[in-house]
Amino acid sequence: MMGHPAESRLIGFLDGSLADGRRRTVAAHLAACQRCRDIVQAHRLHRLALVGETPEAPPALLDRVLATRAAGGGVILPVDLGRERRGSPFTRHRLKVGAMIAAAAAGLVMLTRVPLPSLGLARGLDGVGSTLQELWSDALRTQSYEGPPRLLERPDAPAAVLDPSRMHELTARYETTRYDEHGNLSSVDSLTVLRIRRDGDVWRIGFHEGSPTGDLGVTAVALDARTLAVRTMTRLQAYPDTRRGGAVVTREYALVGNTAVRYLRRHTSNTPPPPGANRGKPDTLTMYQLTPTEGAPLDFGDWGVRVALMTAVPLSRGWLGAFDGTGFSSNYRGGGYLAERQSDSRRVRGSETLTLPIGEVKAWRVERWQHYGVSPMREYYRQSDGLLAAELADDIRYGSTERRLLSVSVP
Amino acid sequence: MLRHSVDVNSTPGASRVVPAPAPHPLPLDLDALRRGDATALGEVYRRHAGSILGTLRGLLGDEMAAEDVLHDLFVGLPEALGRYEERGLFEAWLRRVAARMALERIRRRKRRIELARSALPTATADADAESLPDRLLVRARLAELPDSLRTVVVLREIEGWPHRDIARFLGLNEGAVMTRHCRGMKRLRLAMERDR
Repeated sequence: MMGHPAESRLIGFLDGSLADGRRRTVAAHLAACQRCRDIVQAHRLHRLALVGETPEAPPALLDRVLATRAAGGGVILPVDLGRERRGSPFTRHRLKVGAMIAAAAAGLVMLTRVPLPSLGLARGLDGVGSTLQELWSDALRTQSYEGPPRLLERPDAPAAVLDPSRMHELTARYETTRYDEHGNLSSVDSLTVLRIRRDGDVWRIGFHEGSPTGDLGVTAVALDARTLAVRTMTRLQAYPDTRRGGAVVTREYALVGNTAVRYLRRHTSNTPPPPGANRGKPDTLTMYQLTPTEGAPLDFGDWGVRVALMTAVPLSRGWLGAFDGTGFSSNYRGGGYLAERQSDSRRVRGSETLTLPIGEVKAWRVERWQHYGVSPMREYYRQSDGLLAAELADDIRYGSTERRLLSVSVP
Repeated sequence: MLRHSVDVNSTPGASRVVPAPAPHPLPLDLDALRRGDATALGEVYRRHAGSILGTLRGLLGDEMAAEDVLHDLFVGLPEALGRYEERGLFEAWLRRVAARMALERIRRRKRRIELARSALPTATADADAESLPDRLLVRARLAELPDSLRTVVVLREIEGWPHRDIARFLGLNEGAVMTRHCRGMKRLRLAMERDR
């Protein structure tokens, strides 16, 4: 019987401060140990209790403030201390040297009267990067919410920081912990690295997910300053021992133009995949477009592990929503995969006009049945181009999610 | 079992979502604030005073002291803005100043909080063990922690500061901050267990 991790480790796990290896070890332990899950759960509830409520500041206090000021009262606030402590003395020294060099360079430029047509742009782009990083660094905290997966958002962020024409490369690391509808810890994943980078005219959004206890499905990518991360769906799947099992999923999306997404998924594991699986090779790159005809069945066939399916639609100006219709049909059980065939079938049931963020969309309404499903999903495909426009399911019950952004870096 | 994803944008209102802070429609008029304009000051107060007060309560463990600091913060804010560089978020800067003020107050005073245990909220006998613990009770137990632990717990758990920033802020090394954070959280958990 493996010993229990120290409580400091459990707190560090919940807190997101453990190194990757330790995080995986604790996650694996949690998947098998009710006692430690209870401790983590207790800490989680205490944290929620601490952060969940914003008191109302008494209005009378504002009156007192104004009265004090009107009477000439004043208070000197300690505003400089935090900033002054940033960076080591060595760093500050380097900054001073850097500033002197910059000043000297500027002086040289002025003396030689070299025009500076490009510096404005360069400064502007640097500004975007540093502002973005600062903006998100400030948000390095857990976001907790209940209900379906949703985006990691900073609604107070200025929208202009990252628009498609000024997109900036960045890397973000975050992890997601999910709880079932009863509040029990159900999935302790996952370190995800999100990279947005430029490749010629195509912006690539890459994800690397190391998940000891679950497999994440990415369902949306959003690319504006208010919406950094991805909407994810967690597949609840216990891996009792990460040394014997565990999936590493790498996904890559590429924006093609402004309206479509190409999707590539690589799935690797340190256990042998089931017969017929892709054995760690990259999945095929696929892009689906449907041409529904009302009343006709749309059979997507049986899926094994080797699946790549992506349909996408821009949901609003400046960001792109992408919907993952991926079937991933193996289960990990005690050191090996239990292959599980999965089938979907769809049938067009009519057409409707949807109101989406991009406006009204004429769409086919498609019922989608899955072999384990008790009720159909509803999907809507745009009639203009057959791309998936929306997806609904009434029977899925979600718990809560905590997502902690660990770092953001802008090259 | 694979469960397919649902776009939340397509199901408005279908879920209970802990709301993120609503975006404020208009930027603050910092120039007016620097001039000490009462309307501008009131607007800042309306937007930020509540959450800052929550943090101050946590840091100081004392309602009156928290309001005192909040009062001083807003009295001195217009003049302090002269030293505010408009980089990053104004709210983050404001919260940091407030935390600094609370810390100075803690350091100045000998801790006088002697909350009688009997006066603190207690868990109700029929409380659902699975439900969120009573916020007042958690806050009360938090207030019982020593300053050294409570400060770190509040900055980490309520303010969400990275350990590194807390270490700089408090003049500690990062390891000490992590140790205090874990000790504080553990003591909080044990105190809550005793209440059950």
